[in-house]
Amino acid sequence: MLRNIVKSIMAAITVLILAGCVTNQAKYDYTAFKESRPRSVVILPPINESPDVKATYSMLSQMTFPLAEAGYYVFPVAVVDETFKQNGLTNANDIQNVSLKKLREIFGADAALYVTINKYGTTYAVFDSATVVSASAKLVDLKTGNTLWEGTATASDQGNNNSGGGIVGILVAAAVKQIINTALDAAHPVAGQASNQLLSAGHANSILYGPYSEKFGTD
Amino acid sequence: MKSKTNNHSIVGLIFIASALLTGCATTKSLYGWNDYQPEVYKYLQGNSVEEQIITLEKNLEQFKARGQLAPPGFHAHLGMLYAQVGKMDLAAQEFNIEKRLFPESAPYMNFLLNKKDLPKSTSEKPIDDGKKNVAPKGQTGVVTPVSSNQSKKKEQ
Repeated sequence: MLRNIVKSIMAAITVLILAGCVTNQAKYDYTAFKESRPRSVVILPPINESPDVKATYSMLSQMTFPLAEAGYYVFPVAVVDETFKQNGLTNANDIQNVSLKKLREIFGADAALYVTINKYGTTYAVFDSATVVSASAKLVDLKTGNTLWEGTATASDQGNNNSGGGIVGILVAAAVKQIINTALDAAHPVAGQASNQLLSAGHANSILYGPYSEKFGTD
Repeated sequence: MKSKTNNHSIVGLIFIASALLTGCATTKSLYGWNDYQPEVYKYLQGNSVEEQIITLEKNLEQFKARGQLAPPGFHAHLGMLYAQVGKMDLAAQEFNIEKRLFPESAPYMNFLLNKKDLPKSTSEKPIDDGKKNVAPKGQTGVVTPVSSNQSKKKEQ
C-alpha cells in the first residue's frame, strides 16, 4: 500500500521534472532576437486592463527579478517611472507611446519591454474562487524597432493549498514564498509568479538568456 | 521485506526531490535580492522613503557579508531615495556605483547625475527630527501613488 503510494509520487515527480525542466521544442522564431542580442532592457510601466488600480505597480515592481536573473541589465523601474513623471508622463498608455528614439536617448537601453496586464485579482468561478494574474509582454529593439520576443503568462493561487501537490507542491511553494515575501494584497504574490513565468529564461518559447548569464548563447 | 522495498523507494524519492531542487526549482541566483522588489513596490505606492533607505542599507550589508552582488538597479534606486531626502552626495555616489557595476547603465546614470537637483519629486523632504510620520498631504500630484489609499499611509 505505502509502496504503491510512494511509487506513484515518484512517477508524478518524474513527470513534473520532464514537463518543467526540459527545454526544447522552441516554436518561437528567435532570428531577430539572436541578431539583436540586447544587453539591457528598460521595463515600461504595464498597461492595466483589469479593474484593480494596484496592478500596474504590483507587476512593475516584480519583473526585475526574472529578467535580471535571465542575464540582462534591467533599468531601475521606480527611477525610470520617476523620470517619466518628471516629463509629464503619468500613465502607462502614454508612456508606452513614447518614441523608441526618445527611450534610447534617455536610457541608452538596447531594448524596451512592453507589458499589458489582462487580469489582476480574484475571480469567482462555479466551484472555487481564484486569484488570477494574466499578462502579455513584448520585447522591442530600440534601434531597429523589431519585435524580438513576445510571450504571455497566467498565474493563479489555486492549487497552492491543494494537498495533491504533495512534496513538490510544498517545496515549490516554499521557494516562491522565499522570493516573494510581501503580500500587501492577495494578487501581489500571484503577480510575482506571473512575472517569473512570463520573463524567466530557459523554457519553451521563453526569453533567451542574456549576457550576464553563464547560459548566454546556449539557447 | 516490505519495509525494505519502501526504504529503497523513499531513498529514490529523496534523491529525485533534491535533484529537482538543485536543478530546477532553485537555479543558482546571479544576485542577492532580499528586499529590493518589495521596497520598490513600497516606493511606488508612496510609502516613507526614510524607512526604505534603512532597509536597503541593511540589504547592502547583508550582500557584502554573503558575498552576493546587488541586483541591477539596486544602487540607482537607493541613489534616488537619497536624492529625495536631500543627500545629494550619497545619491551621486550610488549612481556612480551602479555605473561601475553595470556599464549598460552609464548613459542613464549620467543623465541623472547631470540633472542639477537630481530626481526629487515626492513630498518627502528632509524632515525635522521630531516629526517623522508626516502624511504627504500637500503634495503636488507629481508622485501621486496609483493606489488611492493615501490617507492611511501612516505607519506607527
